[in-house]
Amino acid sequence: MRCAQAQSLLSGYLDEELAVREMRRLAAHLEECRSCEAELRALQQAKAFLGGLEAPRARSGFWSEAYEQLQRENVRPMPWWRKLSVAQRSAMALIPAVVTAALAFQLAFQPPATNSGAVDSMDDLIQAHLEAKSCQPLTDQSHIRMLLSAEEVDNGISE
Amino acid sequence: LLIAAFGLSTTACSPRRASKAPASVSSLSPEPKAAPATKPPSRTEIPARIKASPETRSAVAWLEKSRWAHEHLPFEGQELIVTWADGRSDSAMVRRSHDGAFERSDYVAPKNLAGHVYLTDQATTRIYNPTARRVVISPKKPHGPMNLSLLLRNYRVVLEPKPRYVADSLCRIVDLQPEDHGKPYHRLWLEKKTALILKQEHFHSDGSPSGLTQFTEIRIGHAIPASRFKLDLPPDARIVRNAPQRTGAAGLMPRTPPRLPAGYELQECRASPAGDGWHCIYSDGMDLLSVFVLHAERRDRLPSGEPVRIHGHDGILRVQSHQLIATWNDDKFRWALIGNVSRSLGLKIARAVASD
Repeated sequence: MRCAQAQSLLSGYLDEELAVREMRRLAAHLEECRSCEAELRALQQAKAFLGGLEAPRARSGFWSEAYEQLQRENVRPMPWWRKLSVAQRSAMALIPAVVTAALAFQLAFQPPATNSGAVDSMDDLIQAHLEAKSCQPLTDQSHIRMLLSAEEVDNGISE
Repeated sequence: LLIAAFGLSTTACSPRRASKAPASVSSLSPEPKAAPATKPPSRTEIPARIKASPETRSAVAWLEKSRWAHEHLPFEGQELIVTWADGRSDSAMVRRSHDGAFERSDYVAPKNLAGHVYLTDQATTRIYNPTARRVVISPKKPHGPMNLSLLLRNYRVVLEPKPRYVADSLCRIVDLQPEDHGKPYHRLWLEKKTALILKQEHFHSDGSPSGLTQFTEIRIGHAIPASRFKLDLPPDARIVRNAPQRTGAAGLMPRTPPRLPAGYELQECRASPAGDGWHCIYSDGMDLLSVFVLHAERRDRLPSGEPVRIHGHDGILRVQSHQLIATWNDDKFRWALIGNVSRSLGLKIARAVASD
């Protein structure tokens, strides 16, 4: 594999978009070529830093403008809810809020989660497994991977 | 069936059961340092059935040297961590300092992890979250001795003939190729003079990558000031202590097999995270498998996943956080197997556990 080809594949290599065979060919090239390996390192660093940037937020009024533009471009019959009075629409708008509040109340005041209530969650078991792995020789970086995938455990007592 | 009493192990690496602990101050110092050992690495006995070529012997010697160096040589550097999961990659940049049993990692990037600190000594692990202004302190179980004999039974250890550069340092490469299909494959770059691991690549059994750590710069052998291993906290930081795992008998646990397919051997059993059963840990010398045996509370409904039959019981398979999970109910317990193995190997191991 030539350097130009290798460097065109680096981004795909980082994002795991290459075929396994292509990935292996590129890995073999990277082991022998210091300039491409340095390029990969630079790309990885850039990716790590870019990953930390926040996505830009839409300016205020963006969504209403976009909606109006869509309305202009695609005029359709008025939806049923637009025919309601302001009071009726306000009442309708409150329904999701009431439902959300009821769910939040239920979540907040239900008894502490029991195992039977968390049947679909394997998180605590996976966490325990990864913690055990982090104590293994030769794989002592696992704790860092844990931080990447999960926040630290906080079941203790605060001081 | 119930023959083994609980209590095989009394400590855990990072357990979660809480207890009250003395109030702390705004800076946390690690446990006192032990005197550095000067004993050279021990010689591993290579199992007789392995035809140990000079290359294998050499690779084993490199691993022994590496383990010793990691325990005794100070180093500081910047490390890149990349993980691949579910078709996407995550990266982090970490500033690492290491001095024997003391280790500190400061996250530099990405933004949501920047400022996190991981600090560990011989007895505890501290993780500081700057956003929550909280430090979680957990007891730590020190690394057990590296079981190279077990590793050699389960992996082909190959030393690449050509050295390569990592962080401007020449490295020898050791490949750890599993003897059994369905297990992960590992590649380690050992610095040529000291055998410190400067880069690791981990692959799933299908050849796809699962993770990479690589130093982008490193200084080896320089003294690191003790203050580096002290965690200075803001005055309003909250301290949370996770106490040692509960000990003592917790009833009888069902027998778990001492050996599983693909060379996994039982290392220890400890209390499960919620204290509702047991966590049995198996090792093949490099990777771990966990078998959880949980009491009836968890037996009502299986989690979502691919339905499978495991020795006459309904079960499911799913992949979560890079790990294959097989879980099933028998007449008394909920069982869960977790490990980085392929679907077919995971199912084979689960069936071996269930049939025992």
